[in-house]
Amino acid sequence: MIKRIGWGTLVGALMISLGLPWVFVLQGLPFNLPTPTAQLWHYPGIASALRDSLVVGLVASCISLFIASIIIGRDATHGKPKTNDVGLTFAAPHLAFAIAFLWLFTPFGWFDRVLPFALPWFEQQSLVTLITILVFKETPFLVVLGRQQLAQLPYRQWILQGRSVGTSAQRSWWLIVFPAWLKAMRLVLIAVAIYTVSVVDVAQVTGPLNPPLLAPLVVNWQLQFDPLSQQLAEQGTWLLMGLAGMMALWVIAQELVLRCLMSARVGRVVAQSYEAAVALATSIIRRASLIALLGVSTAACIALIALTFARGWFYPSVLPLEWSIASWSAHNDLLLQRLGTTLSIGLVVAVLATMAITALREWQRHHRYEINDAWLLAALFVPQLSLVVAWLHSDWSQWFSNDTASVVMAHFWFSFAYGYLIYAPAERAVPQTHLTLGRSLGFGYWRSWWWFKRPLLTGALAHCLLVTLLVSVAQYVPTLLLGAGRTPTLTTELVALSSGGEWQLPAMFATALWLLALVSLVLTQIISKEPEL
Amino acid sequence: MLVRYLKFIVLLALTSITAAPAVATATKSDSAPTVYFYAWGGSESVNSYLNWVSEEVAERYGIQLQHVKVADISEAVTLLLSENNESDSKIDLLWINGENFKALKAAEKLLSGLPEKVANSRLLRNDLNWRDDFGEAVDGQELPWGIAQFQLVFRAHVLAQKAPPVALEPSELLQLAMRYPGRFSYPKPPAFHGTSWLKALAYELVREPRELQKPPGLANSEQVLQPLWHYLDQLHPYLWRSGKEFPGSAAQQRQWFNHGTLDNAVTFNPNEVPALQQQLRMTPAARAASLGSRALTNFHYLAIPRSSGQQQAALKVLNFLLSEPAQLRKSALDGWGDPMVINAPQGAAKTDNGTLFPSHEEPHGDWTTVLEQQWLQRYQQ
Amino acid sequence: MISQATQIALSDQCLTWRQDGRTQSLPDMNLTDGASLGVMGPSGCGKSSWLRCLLGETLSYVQFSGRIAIAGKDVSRLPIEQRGIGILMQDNPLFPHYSVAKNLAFALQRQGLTKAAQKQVIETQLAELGLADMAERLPGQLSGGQQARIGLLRTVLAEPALVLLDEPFNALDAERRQQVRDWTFNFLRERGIAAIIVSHQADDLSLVDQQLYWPDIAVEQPCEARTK
Repeated sequence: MIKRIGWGTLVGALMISLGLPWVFVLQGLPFNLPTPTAQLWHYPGIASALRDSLVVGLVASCISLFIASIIIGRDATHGKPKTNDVGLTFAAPHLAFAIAFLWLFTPFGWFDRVLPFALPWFEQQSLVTLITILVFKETPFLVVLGRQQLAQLPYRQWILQGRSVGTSAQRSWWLIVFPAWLKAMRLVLIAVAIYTVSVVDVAQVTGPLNPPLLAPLVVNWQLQFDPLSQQLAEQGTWLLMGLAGMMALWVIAQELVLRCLMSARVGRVVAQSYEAAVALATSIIRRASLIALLGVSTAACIALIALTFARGWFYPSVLPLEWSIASWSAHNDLLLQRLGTTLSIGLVVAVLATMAITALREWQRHHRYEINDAWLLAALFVPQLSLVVAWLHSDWSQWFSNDTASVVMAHFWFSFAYGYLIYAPAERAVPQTHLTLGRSLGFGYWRSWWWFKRPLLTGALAHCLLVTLLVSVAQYVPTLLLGAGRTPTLTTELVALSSGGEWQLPAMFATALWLLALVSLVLTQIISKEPEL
Repeated sequence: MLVRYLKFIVLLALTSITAAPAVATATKSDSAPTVYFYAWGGSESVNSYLNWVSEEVAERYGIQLQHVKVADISEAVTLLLSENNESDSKIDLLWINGENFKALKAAEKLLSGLPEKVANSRLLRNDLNWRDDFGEAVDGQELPWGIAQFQLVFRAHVLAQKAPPVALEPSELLQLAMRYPGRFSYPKPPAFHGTSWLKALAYELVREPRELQKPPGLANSEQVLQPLWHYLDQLHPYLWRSGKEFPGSAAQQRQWFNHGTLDNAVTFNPNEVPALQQQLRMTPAARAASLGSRALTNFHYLAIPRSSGQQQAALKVLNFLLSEPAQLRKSALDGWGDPMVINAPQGAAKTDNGTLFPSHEEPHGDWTTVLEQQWLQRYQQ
Repeated sequence: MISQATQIALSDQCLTWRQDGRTQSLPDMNLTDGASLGVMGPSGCGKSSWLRCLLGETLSYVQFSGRIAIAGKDVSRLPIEQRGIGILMQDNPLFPHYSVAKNLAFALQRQGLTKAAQKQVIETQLAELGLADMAERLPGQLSGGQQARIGLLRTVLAEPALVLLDEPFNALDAERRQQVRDWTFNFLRERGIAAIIVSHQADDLSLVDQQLYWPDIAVEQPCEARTK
């Protein structure tokens, strides 16, 4: 009886905390659809904005999936998967990476100044630059999470079986493991694809502006207060949600097509020369991608650190007028304060979210009832600024009158979706037998979970903590607006500083964020590697 | 073991975040009220000036001034517009002007009667027309904090044949653009500086500049602005990326200017070039020029939300910001370099000598939307 | 399409356990005309690892050296897919996300058949096993015994000279176990395919032609001593 109340209360409280924000959204989000006669369609350049957003979404998510598959394929077919090859890029904060990338690789940028010959550099505010940067950031994300999903599959056995009936290792990866991996990655891929069409800061800094992509356009409208802009913002929000839905469908369609393609190739005769050519090509692509990821991230990281010490670094100089540690010594108090707030909120959010995700999975397992993932991941489908503005116009603040609680709640809500994305598939792959066995030995449910099931999920839990932490750390709009500026973090500081025309101070905060993420990632990898009980 | 460790982390984090607001409220209820000042945080010189102000008001009045840095003050306006409580706004003081002020005034969110409540408002210069903010009457709901004057910045070699102070006619600018194709640009409207560039150009180009002081009629706005669009049609092919793409803001353009991407930038701070050069934040090769013989001039302001729970403290801070020491410090070229809005104290060196140009007032407020919409219709596809 | 009976000779076999450097020699083995060899030993003694080495897998904890001759040709340096050795694993013998027909098609890709011919072969073979209507089912929809039979069929369709069976009946209940076991040995014998089966249960090996007890590492001489 007590146990039943325990479950009920726990899951009930969780469902309220996940559902309540939706009630507030419905309360605060005007139902102003972009019907064919809507004002939105008369906005100059709306067709290009929509087209470009789609192109970015499709191209960036396809290329990153392609590269990630090749990297993971090599992991699957070789004895020991690498773990640290993409860590530096994975940890890079999007905005910081974009800023450093532009500083290095645009015309008149640092490399253009150093190299004696001209190269076709990445143009400022262009679709190609934006797609490149997104691919750079999304590929490592897919690789890190993809490895985690791969580990849940009996891929070694499959490849061995494939080879024992005469299929080469590489072909076994593509024909046997890849379709199953792709299915396991569906939610992650949907999240990435939706992120790609709804990203604001990076799109604004690196993407086309005339017209901008849809997401930054909606944000621009949202921040203007004349009636027309507000109308456009309301309709644009729904259009953006539609676009997110389209991307989700696209990922599912892409998965079906790829799985059909692979299935159609089963039993097909392949010439050895063809296999050799494919092996060579994938090996070249893999090596080139890893070198590019590592090379560009290292350069970006060094550039950011250099910028924190540089005073007066102007075209056409290769080096700054002065090096100085003044900026660090003047701002280290501020930096530490912000780091403290960021970490406190981030850790609370990560622990709460991971505990909630675990509880919800166990509840579903225990009751043999699966909540449709789409409900739990819906937070990823709606543009964030629109959500937060809707909350501001709702009863949110009456429920969460404490600013910190309000921020934690919002971070928890956004982190939950990403954490669930990582933990749920891993948890589903683990049999419940050990837990049941533990209970038969007299352990209570959670004690048994801790001693017998958790060891099988150490990696998934660690990655869940990592990603929920990083999602919390990266929040700008909810932290600023729901926290009313009472909880300034590294990210709010970085975004505010980056709105100016300077490099040095933003570079400092960007470096700190990068370092924080990198340390978290390394810790996660150490924990994941812990010998399992 | 791990459980204990996790418990420890949760406890630690919970205490740290629950303790933080507790500390804040404790200090609030004591004699040191906290004033939350929402202001753009993109400039290190502005941020460090506000740091200095915080120290001063803490020492003088025992007030804790918290600078809440935002990337765009409209974020704060969004927050304030969504608040429906009467007495406990999250915002105590705001740095705004233009459209943002208009929106807050329309929503009756601002404290009025500021000139009577702020003693130092009597020091404000009488020769400045600050009572009109982008065509919107200030009505005592905000007080000017600094002067903004639209200027162009060029790489020195572009202006090599001109002696300072340089004033460029639009036709001369077009000649320069043709001589240096692909090297100039301007922030994309409706970014604040982009729209200001259109206004400044309009003043120089329209046949009857006084038309701009009146509200635009539906029929005649197209006709009035015809020379402006004609000029831009000529200019765009010689701009960066043939005028098909633009920097997103003045800050971004300044970055590109320092970075070498462009040979021009725009600014609203008449002291920006010398101040930033002195601080090694702008290339030594930069030189300022005005567009035409008169420069578009406006003000940036301070306002207090009607529902601020710390009105008295906020008024004290506002009063200090308009005081002689605060205004002098603000205009110093080794700091922010923002010109004073009060009469210079006896004996103090005037900081805006040689940098301020004769001024054009802001056009009537409704022109902003007209200019932005027509520009987008023509050039954003 | 069924393999011709071939001479299989395993000689100079040595397993080196990397952790402590101990070595373990194995007796020479000869299998002719589709004979079967049963290897008995307790769980965890290393017999599964040995099978995987024969298959060609590189293992992190043990190293294998020795000669694996199939029809007089040493295949011990060839990659797995070129050795002509098949394996049937303990559990999950099939790819769960592919239909039975697709699972079987994997084994036919070397033979240069058209899609239609492949379909024909698969249908015929399934019909012979009495599983004719299972072609489009997913492995999850089959019983354990059906899965085991189709797993073996897939192994055999790839025409190996030697099939390795690693505790192949473990997943089955006692009754089914005997049924499947009898069927398996018949099936291999009929087609003249040599087999090595490892198990810790004596019952499993009742039908094999030769039996061998896994040498006890504590008693046996290490490799070097033996070869000297």
